Amino acid sequence: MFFHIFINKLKILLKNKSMIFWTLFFPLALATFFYLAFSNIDSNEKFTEIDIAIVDNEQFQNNVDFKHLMASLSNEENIFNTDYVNIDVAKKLLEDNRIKGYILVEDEINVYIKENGISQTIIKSVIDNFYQINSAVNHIFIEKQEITNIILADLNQNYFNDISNDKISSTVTYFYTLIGMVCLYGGFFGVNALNESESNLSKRAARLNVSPIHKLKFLLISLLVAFIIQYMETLILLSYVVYILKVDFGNQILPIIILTANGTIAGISFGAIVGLSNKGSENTKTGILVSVTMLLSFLAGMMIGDIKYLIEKNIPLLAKINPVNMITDALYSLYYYNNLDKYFSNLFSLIIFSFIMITVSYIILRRKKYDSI
Amino acid sequence: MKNVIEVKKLNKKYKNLQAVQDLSFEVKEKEILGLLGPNGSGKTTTINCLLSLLNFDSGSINILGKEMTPDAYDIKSKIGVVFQDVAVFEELTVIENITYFCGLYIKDKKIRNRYVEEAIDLVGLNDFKDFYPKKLSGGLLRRLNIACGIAHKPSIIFLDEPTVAVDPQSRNNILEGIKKLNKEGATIIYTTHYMEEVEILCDRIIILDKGIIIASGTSKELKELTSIEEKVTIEIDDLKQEIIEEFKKLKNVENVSYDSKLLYITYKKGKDNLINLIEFMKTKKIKYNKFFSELPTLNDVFLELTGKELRD
Repeated sequence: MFFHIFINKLKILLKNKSMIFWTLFFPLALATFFYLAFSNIDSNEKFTEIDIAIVDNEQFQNNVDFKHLMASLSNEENIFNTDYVNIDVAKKLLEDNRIKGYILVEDEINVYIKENGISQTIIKSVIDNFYQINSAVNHIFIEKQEITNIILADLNQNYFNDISNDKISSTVTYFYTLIGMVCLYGGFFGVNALNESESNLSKRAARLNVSPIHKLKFLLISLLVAFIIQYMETLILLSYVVYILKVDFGNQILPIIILTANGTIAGISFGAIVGLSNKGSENTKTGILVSVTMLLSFLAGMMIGDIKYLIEKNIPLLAKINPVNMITDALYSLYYYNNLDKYFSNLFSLIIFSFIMITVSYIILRRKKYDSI
Repeated sequence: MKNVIEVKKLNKKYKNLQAVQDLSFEVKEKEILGLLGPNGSGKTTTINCLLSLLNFDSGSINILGKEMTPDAYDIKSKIGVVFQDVAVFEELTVIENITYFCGLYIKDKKIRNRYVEEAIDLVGLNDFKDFYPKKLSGGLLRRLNIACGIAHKPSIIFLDEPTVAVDPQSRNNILEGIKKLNKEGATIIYTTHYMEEVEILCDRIIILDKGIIIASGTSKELKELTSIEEKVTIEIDDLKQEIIEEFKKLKNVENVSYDSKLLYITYKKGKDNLINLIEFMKTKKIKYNKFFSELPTLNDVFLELTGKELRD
């Protein structure tokens, strides 16, 4: 009986052209589009050192941490090409456009620029981050001086690593969100599985429910088939992106496989909730699913990369509960960080998300009779 | 014969609408029971309650001597259902669809394949085995829908308006198939609003209106409920009003009307109505083109009991 239902469900879903289009061919087309659209961006955005000047006064010499940071960013990390000059020379260099800005350390650290731009934003961002780190360290300093230096070194080290990773590419994030979106597209199969098992949603389900097959058994087989198909499609997309389009996903294959498997489960369980949410047709539910998934993908930065950071900064809870964002972040962390902490944190969030979706679905599905069909 | 279905005081309400009220009936083994009623009379609701798909407010339903519940899988394995709406997979061919649904009941592949072939034969889809549903006409699709519901040879079959929007050829095929299933031993519960179908098919008929049983019995028994003996239609080219009035005065005549050269006369119960009528026309030298008489139909029964037509 298991194989009878399994094989037929597999056949039915694989022959569903609309569903296979949305879950496989559309993402492949989107990946190709991203590739064509972004292929020149990385080379155009190749990072060149930013010319700056630092006013070499007494306050600068006394601010050891800042002095150390700027030396590191200039000499080791090659972010800045720094001239140490007096205030007049700094002003002249800026006036002649030979530098993007100069830094003057007084009571506060001030950045002087002539015009706005990416380089000026980076200089300002460095100063802001330094203030943030330094503030944290000062608080600890009051409590326990002996660990201050260790933490300070660690914070500076992490900070440098984060901003200076030579693998940085502004386009990979788009492909990460694409993978996240495809995982969520497992919802297509989730909606279908629910529609085919709830008598009040389809006549085929009513026919099934008058047969001697337990509804949950049928549903579990349907969801298993859904998972297999969607996961295969996700792996096909991943292979296409990595091996054909040559997008670098790092070399941590196993965590990526585990992550996308969980992402697929999250997508299917999300679809199950959408499927149960109303008595509309499967097309209506699919429309809802596509809209919500696109919105979640947008918020995770699929269309505009900065949106992701705006959401994380201003509505962190939304970023935390967005499954596309969880997948994107986990892939991002696998690529950029040497440890798996952030990856596991996102993976765990994804598991929690799926668990909640499955639990709610199960509670609704336990119903055996309906008030109306 | 023993009862295979027993329904007692079934009540089902949708918000403010009482869909089924105090419905009690039984279905005997190997009989064809017709549930006849206009749209919205509660036929489908009754079937869905019987199948444990719908919650109901009160009453009891026993099938094959056991209480019918959603978990009554032993009962479900002996039931076949043909829903009003076609419920097949567009992605599977005719034979694949029937095999799939039959496979939910029959594990043995050899037996299943034999049953599937027999079902295809029964509904006359031999030439369309490898067609996908979207390539089938409405009538053929209905036949496929029936084959999917009965291929596993159930002992009780529920057919919910299986001939709606079906061409005459397919309708005949479907009705013949149902008779054959019954001859092979299946008990059949057949809902429809086509009185002709229940007259042809059913051993016993329950007439429903607004969720209430208004009459039940064999076709003959039901027709005896009406006061009408027969209805006569005569084609007369020209008929004066005073002659029409004289027709009304004939013995046992209940109603007379004349429209588009057709004279309609309804007779109450009584003897020699036609002889008297022919005699009257001969005396009055009334020339007529056509003359035909018909016995009361179930629609007349329904009209008399409810004051409205079955297909209202």
